[in-house]
Amino acid sequence: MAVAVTAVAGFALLPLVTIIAVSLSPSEFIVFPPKGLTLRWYVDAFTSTTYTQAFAFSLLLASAVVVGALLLGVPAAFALVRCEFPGRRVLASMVLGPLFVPGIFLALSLLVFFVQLGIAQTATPLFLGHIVVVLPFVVRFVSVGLVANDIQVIEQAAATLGADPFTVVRRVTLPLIRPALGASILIGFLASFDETVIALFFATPKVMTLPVRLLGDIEFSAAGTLVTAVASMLLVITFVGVLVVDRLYGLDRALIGAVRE
Amino acid sequence: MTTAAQVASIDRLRRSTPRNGWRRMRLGIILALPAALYLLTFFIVPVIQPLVLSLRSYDPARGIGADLTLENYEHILRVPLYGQALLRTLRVALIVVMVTLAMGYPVAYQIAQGRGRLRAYLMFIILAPVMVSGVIRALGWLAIAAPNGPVAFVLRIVSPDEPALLWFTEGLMIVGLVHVQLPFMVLPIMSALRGIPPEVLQAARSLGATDIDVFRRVVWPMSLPGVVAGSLIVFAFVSATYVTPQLLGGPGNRVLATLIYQQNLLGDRPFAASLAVVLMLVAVAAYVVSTGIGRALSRALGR
Repeated sequence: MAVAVTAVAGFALLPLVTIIAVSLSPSEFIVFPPKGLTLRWYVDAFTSTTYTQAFAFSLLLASAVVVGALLLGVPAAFALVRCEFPGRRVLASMVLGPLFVPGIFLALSLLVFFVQLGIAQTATPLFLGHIVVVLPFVVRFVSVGLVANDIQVIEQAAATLGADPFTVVRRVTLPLIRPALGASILIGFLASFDETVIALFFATPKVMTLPVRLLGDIEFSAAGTLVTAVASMLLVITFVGVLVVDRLYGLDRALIGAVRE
Repeated sequence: MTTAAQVASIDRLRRSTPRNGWRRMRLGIILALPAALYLLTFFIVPVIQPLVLSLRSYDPARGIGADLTLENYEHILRVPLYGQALLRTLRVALIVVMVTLAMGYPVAYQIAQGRGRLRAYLMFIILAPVMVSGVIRALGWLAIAAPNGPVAFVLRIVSPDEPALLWFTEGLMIVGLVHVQLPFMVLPIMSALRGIPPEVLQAARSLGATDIDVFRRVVWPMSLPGVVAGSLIVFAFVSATYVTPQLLGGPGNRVLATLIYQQNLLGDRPFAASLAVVLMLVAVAAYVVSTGIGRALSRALGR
């Protein structure tokens, strides 16, 4: 049993380890065993404008998407958990909806929608579309965070001590849901950064995320070693992010029910 | 968890709070309105479009036709290529479900049972790759299966013939998909296993059950809801996934998602939309079937 489990764990890590190993090989295409060790591909990756531009674009996009999702999602989470209003259950279903719609279906729908609006060539549809993808994460995390740990007892205590509702939120609620907020920011950022299908549908030379750039290079100029260097760096960034989420919030809690390619 | 279950759990969370009538309601509406309007505009409305669009015709010279027609669906039914792709999609999805179940159940069991550090590491190793981009994961498998890569190296030692190209095969595609989907099978099973009260296991043992008995008659049945949930998630995902089949399976192994993208690229959006509708139907069918299985299971388990 332990052997089987170790084998599966090894399987899970195999492609990721391979990428890092391959990225250090001096040959331009993948050769095993490697003929030496070099960091030249990492240097090339940093000096390559295509990759640095794509990276910057993805970074900017993901940051903007997270901000947008927080602005929409945090109030919505409050409303869903703490208030009662007509259509509340409908909203709850609607917010979780994007998690259940296949990525490619959503991508095609958004493309058709924005083509009709005439702005399909800009980065705006991508921004708006990614917010749809990230919003469920934010709402879920914050909703769960708002009912954990007897927050309401502390809030009521603050209220009886004379704090008005705004102060209660500012000085009691928000600090107490920090782990949930942190987790939703990180997961949301990673989700937008790695999102490939919607980004692919809206890709133009000016609107190019890093995963789409990598996808194109792999498809049209074979899996060269340069690509693996870029991929390795992304891998490390992702793992660091995931580690932080695990410490803050618990990776299993974060991922239960949350899915995206 | 299904949407209904998640909504119900949000509901239960909510019911524990005191309510102040009209002020709460007004506040709730104000807080929820931006998100509601946003989703309505950029999620609900777009998602309805493929249904309508799939009923239109397309001509490279004249663009999208104005009349409603079923010719896209007729095309799907008549041309064998699409039937084959659909079958391939379903077949691959089923295989991936079975393999991830076989691989994932022991891991979930170990994680649920384990203690401390080892358990934490194992869980991290299995779950962390979820957030890694599909492109990167597929790239890893391309590297492993490269013509001059590690696998080819071993194959050349074992056999004198030049090894066959592993790229763009259904086998490699399945391996890559299993790798991507494994965490989604492990999570629900782990969840279900953790939900088994230890007292139940103790009771079984005190009544004289051996370890095998305990597993077969207590643990396995009680983990089945997790198994069904995991299978549904994996099946739904695999039938809709694009990146892994595109990079690992190639143009000779088209699945629904890669077909949809290809048709979109060729400009025939109505046809792509009809394929997308078929995709949604597959997902909905999977959901209905698994809910039915889930209910039958609950009855059989006496809940």
